[in-house]
Amino acid sequence: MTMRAGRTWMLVFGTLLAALAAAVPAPAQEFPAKPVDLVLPFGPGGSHDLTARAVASVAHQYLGQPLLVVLRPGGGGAVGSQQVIRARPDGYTLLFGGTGPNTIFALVQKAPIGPDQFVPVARINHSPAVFAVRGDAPWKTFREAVEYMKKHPGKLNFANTGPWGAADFPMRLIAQAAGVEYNNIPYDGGGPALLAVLGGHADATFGFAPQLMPQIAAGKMRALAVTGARRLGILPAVPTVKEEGYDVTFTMWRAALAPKGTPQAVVDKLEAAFRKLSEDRSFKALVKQLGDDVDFQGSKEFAETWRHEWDTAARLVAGAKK
Amino acid sequence: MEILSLLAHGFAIALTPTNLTYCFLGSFIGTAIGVLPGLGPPATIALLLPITYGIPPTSAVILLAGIFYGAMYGGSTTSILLNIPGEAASVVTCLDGYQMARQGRAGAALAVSAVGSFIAGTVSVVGLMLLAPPLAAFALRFGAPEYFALLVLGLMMVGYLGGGSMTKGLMMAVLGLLLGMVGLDPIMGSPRFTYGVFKLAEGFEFVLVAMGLFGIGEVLVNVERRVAPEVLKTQIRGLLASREEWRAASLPLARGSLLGFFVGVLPGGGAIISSFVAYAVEKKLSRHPERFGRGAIEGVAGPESANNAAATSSFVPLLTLGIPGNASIALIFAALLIHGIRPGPLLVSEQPAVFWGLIASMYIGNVMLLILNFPLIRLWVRLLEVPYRILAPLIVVFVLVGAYSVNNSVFDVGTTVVFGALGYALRKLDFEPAPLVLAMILGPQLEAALRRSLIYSHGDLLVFFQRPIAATLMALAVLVLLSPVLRWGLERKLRELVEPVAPRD
Amino acid sequence: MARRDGIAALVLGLVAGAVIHQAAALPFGGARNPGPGFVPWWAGVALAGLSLLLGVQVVRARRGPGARRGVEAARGDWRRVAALLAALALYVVALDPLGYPISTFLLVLLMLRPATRRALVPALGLAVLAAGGSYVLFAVWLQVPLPPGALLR
Repeated sequence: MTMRAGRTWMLVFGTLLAALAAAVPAPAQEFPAKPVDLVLPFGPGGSHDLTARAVASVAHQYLGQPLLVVLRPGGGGAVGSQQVIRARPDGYTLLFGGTGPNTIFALVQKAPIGPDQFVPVARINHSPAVFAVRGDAPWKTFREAVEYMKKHPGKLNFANTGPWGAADFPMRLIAQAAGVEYNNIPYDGGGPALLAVLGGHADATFGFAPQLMPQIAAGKMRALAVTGARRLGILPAVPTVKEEGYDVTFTMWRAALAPKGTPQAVVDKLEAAFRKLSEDRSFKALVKQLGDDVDFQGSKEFAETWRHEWDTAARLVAGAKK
Repeated sequence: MEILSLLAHGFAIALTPTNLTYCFLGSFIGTAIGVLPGLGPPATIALLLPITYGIPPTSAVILLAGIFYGAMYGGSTTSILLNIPGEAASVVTCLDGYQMARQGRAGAALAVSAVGSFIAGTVSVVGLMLLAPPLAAFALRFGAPEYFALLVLGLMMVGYLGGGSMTKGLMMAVLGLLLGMVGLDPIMGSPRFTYGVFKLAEGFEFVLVAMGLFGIGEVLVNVERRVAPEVLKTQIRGLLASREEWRAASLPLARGSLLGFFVGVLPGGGAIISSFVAYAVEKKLSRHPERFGRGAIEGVAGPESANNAAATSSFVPLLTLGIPGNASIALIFAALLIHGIRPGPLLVSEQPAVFWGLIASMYIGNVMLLILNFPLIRLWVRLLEVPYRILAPLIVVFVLVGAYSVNNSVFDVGTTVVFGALGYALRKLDFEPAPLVLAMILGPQLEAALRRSLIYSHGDLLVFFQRPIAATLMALAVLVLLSPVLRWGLERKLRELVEPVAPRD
Repeated sequence: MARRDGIAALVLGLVAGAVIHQAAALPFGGARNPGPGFVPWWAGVALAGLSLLLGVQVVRARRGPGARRGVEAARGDWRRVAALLAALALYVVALDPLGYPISTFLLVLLMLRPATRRALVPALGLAVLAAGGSYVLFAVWLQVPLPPGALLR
């Protein structure tokens, strides 16, 4: 009888132990044991969303678990970013962050969603902005446009894609570097800004290559410079801003970020998976269709890149707030 | 005649069994999504986007475009039956559509809006086919000052909504403007009226406000009464519209189609503006303006055809300039990108199969939508026979789950409930919520256009009066504003003329 | 009619005051380059003006011959409205911890309350159907991540 009772008791105890073991976070070498959430701090359809979905479409084979894209738009990217920061740092919740929310918005709105709150896992790609004017504009080179701004302060109408957005930011950097003034007109997004330039309501804008290529091909717009460290593959004749003599580089990156406190072993594992994923042929082709090139950077490397960008941007924002 | 052979080629593409299936699927999903509140066409298209990676680009565009214009057909259904506007463009449909339903004429309202949508959609495709390049050139002439003038004119028209006093209508419009300001300011991006709440920084989502004010507000008003609301008491009189009703609706249909087609070309909000401008025009032209807001069929026919025509013509900027005019079309743009097609000024010449296939599929899609929607009317009208005490909880669940699905957020469900309470209060105080909702959408655009114009002109207010389009629109706005005064003056003049003739005693 | 309009004028007048006060704290800018406070301030002033206008209209209507025309809307039971609003507020709070299916089931059941006394089984059935059906439609088919709650987690 005691034997039997003991056995039952042991069974209960054993079950309890097993349950407890299951409740304890899985050790790192078994990561990932369940699907990983990739939180996107934007709504559907943007280039950020499309890139994230391209990542998710091939992730399973490299991660061993599905990667689920979760949309958490709002607050200029702050809502989604905050959610990841507050999530348990176990590697199962990652942010698909970017320059917009995690550097610029973080600095301008003083939101705690910057490099101090995250451990970078991997940068997937980054795109330079392209300075473009209308096809019949008088400026043939970027330098001519800057000289015009110098001679006629505040005369050039520049259409930005929203305050502190992907067009406003590089233009502020250039104005600072070249010491020029321009008339800064905000539009709500890349489409409206492009329409304003096409319709002659503004003289110039910054855009991304895929969006500008059809206009350039049709002769409606002319690209004068790109903000990357080197020229773009699809616009080989267009010089960089640096080549034109102004010390400005700026790219919009997209990267997987983990909340601070995620174990190093988990970060390493994720980094390795993303590294292999970035070499996947179908993934590369998909990103290329979006007009981008995959440009992988690992955790440590990207942490440095980000910190450097953060410091440059912080100086600009501090200058503008004065 | 070249156009005919090109169109024939387009039909040859669109009529293949595969593409016909995608066209039907798109129309069907679109109708369903239009009926469901909250989850709008952009979210649905985003959901289906990965599926289109594996099918040819023309089929992908046919499917996604079908969802987009199909949703415009479905959107009016909940407005008419339950007073819940499924999307922004059908807010105006609530005004008279829901009143018609309460008088047992839901079938007529639904029939007129389905046929109106079909006619408007077809007219708009013809226009799209023949006039796309010149229209795009026209749309490009709209800079910030032109938009400002158009929005001012639009806001003047908002005052014509609602049957009550003009003062109260304008008060609602101003309140809507103020609600639209919650969030980040459109020029500097600095937060206003957010009180440090992150979720408020993105502003109030239109769908949530509309579903709260209209949907929940209506349920609260009905729950308060001990007696069952009239929807139940009234017998359903005749399933479809009568001959007189068709006659009354025919001219508004034609006017709405044309108006929607031209206004819809303008990127951003064209469909919404066209819907209430069409309403205001019909009210203005009617010999019995007092019937509006009490179930006038013209008040359904005009705006419904306008918003469908606008949905189709909103493809113009994408197809001719390569610039998407709204969120749904931005996703269709993305689908084309994935296939290596970059819509732009050269799309029609470089990818004729995509362009003409899409045009032909739109003709077919509109026919399919009509065939699909007409039998459904019978079913929808049946829904109103369900006792209200059973219908009410279902409406509430429907609205709440829809509110959640907009951003997958519980906060949004709370927002909807709060606006429901506000809607109830407004109704008790005899205010019309439609001007509030519309002004809320137009407000941020109006402010951005004003400030953008002034930055552009370096503070010169004359910018609104020196450019021909802006000046014309401004003159129209002034005319609308002064029309009560003018009419009063005219009537006095007439009386003076008549009085001496009249006997003195 | 007049009484309700009076209340409306008063309430919206107060709202206008609050808006003007708050907008004044934002950078106003000027006609050359209006700041974030420019349009809100003017909108607040417009609302104040319109409230005043409505107030004047109320007073004049009272004095005029048309006073006391217009019937007060049939008074209903305001407690039902308060109860439903309270239930909705509870629903919002309970949605995340309890999950969508359970909280929706409870809400529908609560709204069917008069019916539950007479016919409990059909009411229960309808509540299950509404909660389950909408969950399947939105969470499963349309992939909206509704909070599943303990029941389905």
